[in-house]
Amino acid sequence: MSTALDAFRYQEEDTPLHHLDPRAKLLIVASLILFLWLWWDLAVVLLALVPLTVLVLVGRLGRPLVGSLRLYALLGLLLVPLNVLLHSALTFPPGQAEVLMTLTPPETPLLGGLAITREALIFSLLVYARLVLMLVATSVFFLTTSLDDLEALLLSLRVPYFFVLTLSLAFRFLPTLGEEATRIREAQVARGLDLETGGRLRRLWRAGIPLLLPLFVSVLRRSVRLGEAMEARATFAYPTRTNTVDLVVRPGDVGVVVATLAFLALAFVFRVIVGPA
Amino acid sequence: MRSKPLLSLRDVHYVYPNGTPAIRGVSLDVLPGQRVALLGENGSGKTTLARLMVGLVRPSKGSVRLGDVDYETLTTHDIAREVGIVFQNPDHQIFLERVWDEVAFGPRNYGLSPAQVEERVGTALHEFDLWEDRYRLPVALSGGERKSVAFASSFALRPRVLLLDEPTKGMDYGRKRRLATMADRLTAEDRTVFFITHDVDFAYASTERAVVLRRGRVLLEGRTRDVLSRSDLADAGLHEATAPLLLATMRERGISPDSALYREVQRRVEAVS
Ligand SMILES: Nc1ncnc2c1ncn2[C@@H]1O[C@H](COP(=O)(O)OP(=O)(O)OP(=O)(O)O)[C@@H](O)[C@H]1O
Ligand SMILES: [Mg+2]
Repeated sequence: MSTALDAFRYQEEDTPLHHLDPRAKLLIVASLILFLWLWWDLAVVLLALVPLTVLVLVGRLGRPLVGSLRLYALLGLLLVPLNVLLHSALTFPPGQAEVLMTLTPPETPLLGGLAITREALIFSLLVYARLVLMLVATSVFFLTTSLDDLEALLLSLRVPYFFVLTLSLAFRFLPTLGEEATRIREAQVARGLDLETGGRLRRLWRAGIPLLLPLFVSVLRRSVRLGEAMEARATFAYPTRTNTVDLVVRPGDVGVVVATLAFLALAFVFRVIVGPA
Repeated sequence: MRSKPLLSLRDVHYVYPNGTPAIRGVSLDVLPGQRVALLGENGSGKTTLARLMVGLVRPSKGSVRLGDVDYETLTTHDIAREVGIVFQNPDHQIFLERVWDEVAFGPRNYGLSPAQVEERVGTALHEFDLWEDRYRLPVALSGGERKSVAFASSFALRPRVLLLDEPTKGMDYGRKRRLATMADRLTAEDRTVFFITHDVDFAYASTERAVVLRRGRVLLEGRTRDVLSRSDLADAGLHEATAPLLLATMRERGISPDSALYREVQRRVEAVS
């Protein structure tokens, strides 16, 4: 359905990245994000692109990521102009930076002297690039980590089973919810609910209650039923339980962790010695 | 002379967006005034075919016509006035605070006058034994009762073709009989009712015509009595209806159809199915 969400939904594939220990994967992705977070310059963005590209290629994530390009474009359209204006006015005002374009003459009341400065433009683009890269890193993680792996990861981080189960149930039910919504829509349309004529707003208005209420009721009904069914099967009754996936460290995982740490260390040295670009 | 079909499907195919070919070349004429059983194993395409007939999904290939009008020129809203459907799960449509309003939802959508709505709803509620419950909160009814509310709400629309998906599932014997009576009432007005069901005995007792699907195609079609007494039904995930099976066994064992025993068994077995 929605392409934006597809960039964060697990896609079953047979690649080394999909088989990597989720803890190692979390470490890679988290350190990439940390790296992008700590330093704010072009060199860092370019440097981060290297491992990220490798991950995307190894995990064969090109197609789902292309699907999310529209989301990033939209984000850019919203964020970049706003940032440019703000930073041109506050962080890099015309007196201290090179003016590329004057928007309002200085004598304009209230909004006088607005301009776009070179530094602000560059800075805003960088901020945007970092944000996109962080999002891509996040989606690399979610695209390649199955729910079972995610559960095992959280459990291994000592997150209580109750929370892990709640989270994973929520994830598992999302697609079902979409399916349910379709069925409800069909059932109401079959009773003459008109969702085809009139403007978009009018249709939305007509559809609201007849669609949302049954969805709400059936989600409630389902959760109560699910809860009872789980209790009937002794969920939470015993302090220890066996898991579908038990995480075992393999040599490959260790290699990846070492490589990641090496990259981080190198990047750190590079950044400290060479200084900002 | 054969009467004109209410609906005609010609070589209809339907492929789900994920690539599942659910319907693979179905041609069917829906004649007026018939009770039709639509049978077939799980996943054979019954529900999908029903959605195609209501115009909720459109054929990937082939055509569906309402009388002489091709579905392509009609909105689902137009089609739903003539072709109704009740899905398996009544909770997918119930949302109003009184049974009465729930049943009135459809007629109001088509702008009937208050008097007409009153009349339609009253008839439907009596038909499904819900009159006493008319002021109750529908979500607080039992499963079978909620199902009856869903039936009543489509019945009130008086569609020319009414499709019921698994209507007998979870229904007690009384409600099943009522369903059959309701179908009789509709067929008397030259309307047609489809029972999509796995309940072979119900189909045998309450329909004249049967269509058996298998893997998105029509495997068998004909008079219910003939179709449901075939011994090769297992191929379609079905079993023979109990009544003909029992009577055939008696005949094979040399009990004459004219004998008192045979007639008594026949009478009693047909009375309960
Ligand atoms: N929303 C959907 N998306 C993709 N495939 C679907 C969808 N709904 C049904 N199918 C597939 O289409 C085929 C026909 O399904 P359908 O629901 O029409 O079967 P059915 O005869 O009604 O089965 P049942 O007796 O179990 O209700 C099946 O193979 C099913 O897996
Ligand atoms: Mg079905």
